[in-house]
Amino acid sequence: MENRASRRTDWTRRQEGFQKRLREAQQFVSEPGSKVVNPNECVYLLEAVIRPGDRVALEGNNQKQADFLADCLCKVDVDRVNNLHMVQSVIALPSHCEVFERGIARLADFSYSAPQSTRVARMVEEGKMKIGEIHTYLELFGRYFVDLTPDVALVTAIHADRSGNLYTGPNTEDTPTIVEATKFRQGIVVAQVERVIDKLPRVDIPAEWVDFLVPVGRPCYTEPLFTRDPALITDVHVLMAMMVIKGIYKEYEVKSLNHGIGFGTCAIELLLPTFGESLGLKGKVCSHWAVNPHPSLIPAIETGFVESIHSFGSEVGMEDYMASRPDVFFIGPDGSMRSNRAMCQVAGHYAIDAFVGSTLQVDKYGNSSAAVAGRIAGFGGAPNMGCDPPGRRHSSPSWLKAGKESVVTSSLIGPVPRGRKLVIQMVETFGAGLVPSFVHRLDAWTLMEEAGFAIPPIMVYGDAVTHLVTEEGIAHLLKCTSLEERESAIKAVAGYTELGREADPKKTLELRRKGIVQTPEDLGIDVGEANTSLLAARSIRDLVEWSGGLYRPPDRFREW
Amino acid sequence: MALERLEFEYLGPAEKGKRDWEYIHIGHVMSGDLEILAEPMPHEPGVTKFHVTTSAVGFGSVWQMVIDEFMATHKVRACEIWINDDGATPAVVKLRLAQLAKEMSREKSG
Repeated sequence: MENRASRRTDWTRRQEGFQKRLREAQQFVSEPGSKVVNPNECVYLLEAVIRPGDRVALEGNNQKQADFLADCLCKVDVDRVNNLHMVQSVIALPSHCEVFERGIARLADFSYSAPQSTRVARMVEEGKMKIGEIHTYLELFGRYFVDLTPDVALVTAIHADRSGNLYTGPNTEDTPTIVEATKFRQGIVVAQVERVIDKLPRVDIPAEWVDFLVPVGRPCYTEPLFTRDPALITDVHVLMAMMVIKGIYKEYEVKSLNHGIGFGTCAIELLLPTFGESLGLKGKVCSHWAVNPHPSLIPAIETGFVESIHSFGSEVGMEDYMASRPDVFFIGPDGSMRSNRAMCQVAGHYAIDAFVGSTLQVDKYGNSSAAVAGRIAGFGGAPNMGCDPPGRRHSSPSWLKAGKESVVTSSLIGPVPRGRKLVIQMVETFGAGLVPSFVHRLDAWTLMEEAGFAIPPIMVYGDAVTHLVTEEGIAHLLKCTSLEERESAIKAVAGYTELGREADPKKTLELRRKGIVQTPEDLGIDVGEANTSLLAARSIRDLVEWSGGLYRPPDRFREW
Repeated sequence: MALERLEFEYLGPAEKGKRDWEYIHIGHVMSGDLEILAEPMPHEPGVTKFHVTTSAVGFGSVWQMVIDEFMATHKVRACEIWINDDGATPAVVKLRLAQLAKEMSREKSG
């Protein structure tokens, strides 16, 4: 029987195309057989390996940045390199925008752009940047292996050896994910490093996956994004943190968790050794973390609250401290920490009891968003942690208790026991400048209209939120049986905002009786006692002292 | 900088028991915060007076609600209270007032 179906016969088009580029780029290496390219020749190298319309992963992470390669990409001849499709985690540096301003790139698929949010919104409005989709980190990483595989990856490492092995050290972050996706579909990997040295402390990326090395003679730019000065914590943060510790962590026995970078969660970390200890919680809560190495965790680590921490990235100044606490952090055989954003996001999605974040706006349904009109900031990783993963199948006491309290679940799946991740939002009813945090309509809707998005950029959907914590109290939203009841519970803790003033005092009393709303008084917390003097550290200097001098904060945080 | 002055006065049954505190100072005037100064007014046992000076103009109704709630909870009598505010949120105002009440009761018991 004759098979009439046409058959594809060429199977190596991508491979051959990239091989051709690699051959053409050989003229820029320092000597035959070497991968090292002089930084002065880097722009020419990029012009040789990048073709119009390519998908390019320019390594822009939450913390470390391939800043030299970003600057070089801005300088390429736009007649030779244009229409690029940038697929990068974070749009953080001015150069990330300049690539679009200059017409080198046109389309962006990314996760997070808060540091350039105003400029991104303006570029979209002016038609200089087209946004494909805004993702969470895990979604974007997922798409690297489906339909957004990079053709060229421009990454950054600390050092390389002569054969091209890379040492990415504590700030490994996104590099393994980007390189694996690119190289295993035959793409080209260019790495900027500080130096090429004879022997690396350890190999984070094998040489076979790296095509070119650009030794730039200085470390790449790294942002200390997760350093919060305890001096900026207010008594209100302390009050809300006390409520979370006593009303949620203690009640649910929250053992594994992620914290956002707000001052509320910073206050929790600094109250564990004091207030937490006084409640007898050491060893019972907050032992396992999927979180960046927050300096504000040092007192909780030193007092034995914390057993383990896996991190998305590192934090500037924490390197020696982490290396000296190998029982706690993920330390390689070489003695230095290794982070991995994809792995830690998986941990934060599937393997923790609780996520605690903060937000700018909450609507009456409990949807929350940090979106502001005129700014496109993206999501980062919060939505992956700030949700209950439907695929979770392992249990823990916290997960089971939260599942039991989620009475609505049984109306969907019958009397089958199923747990739930705690998703806790801490928000003061008014933000800076007396702007209300509780609103009838999220700014995300306006942003959706302005930018032409298909959906409003909501960070955490209301149905994911189990607890809303304000200075007024805790709303146990997971216990609500209807949308109407949720609205009443949200209004009950919305204070003197317009939404809060709609609260019906009788209804609020009823919710307090049911345990759906708890005020500080209901929790046995004296508001007058909430004071920053309860914090285990009240300054960056205190944190340095707790660490025995091993934590070395960046200069901008040093005031002594 | 424009400032707004607000006055609130509460009348109620005279306070029972002996008052030990002389003068209380809570908080600081700085952006997003406020200071509270309280002084006893023994000659007017059923009266509480609030004098609010604030940099956030147009929030009179919110001040009214926050102070009403404070008075309903704490039954503070026979004193005069000055509040100097630099844009504190209601959360901060409530908390500072709670600290004031705490301080008044602490001085009494101590």
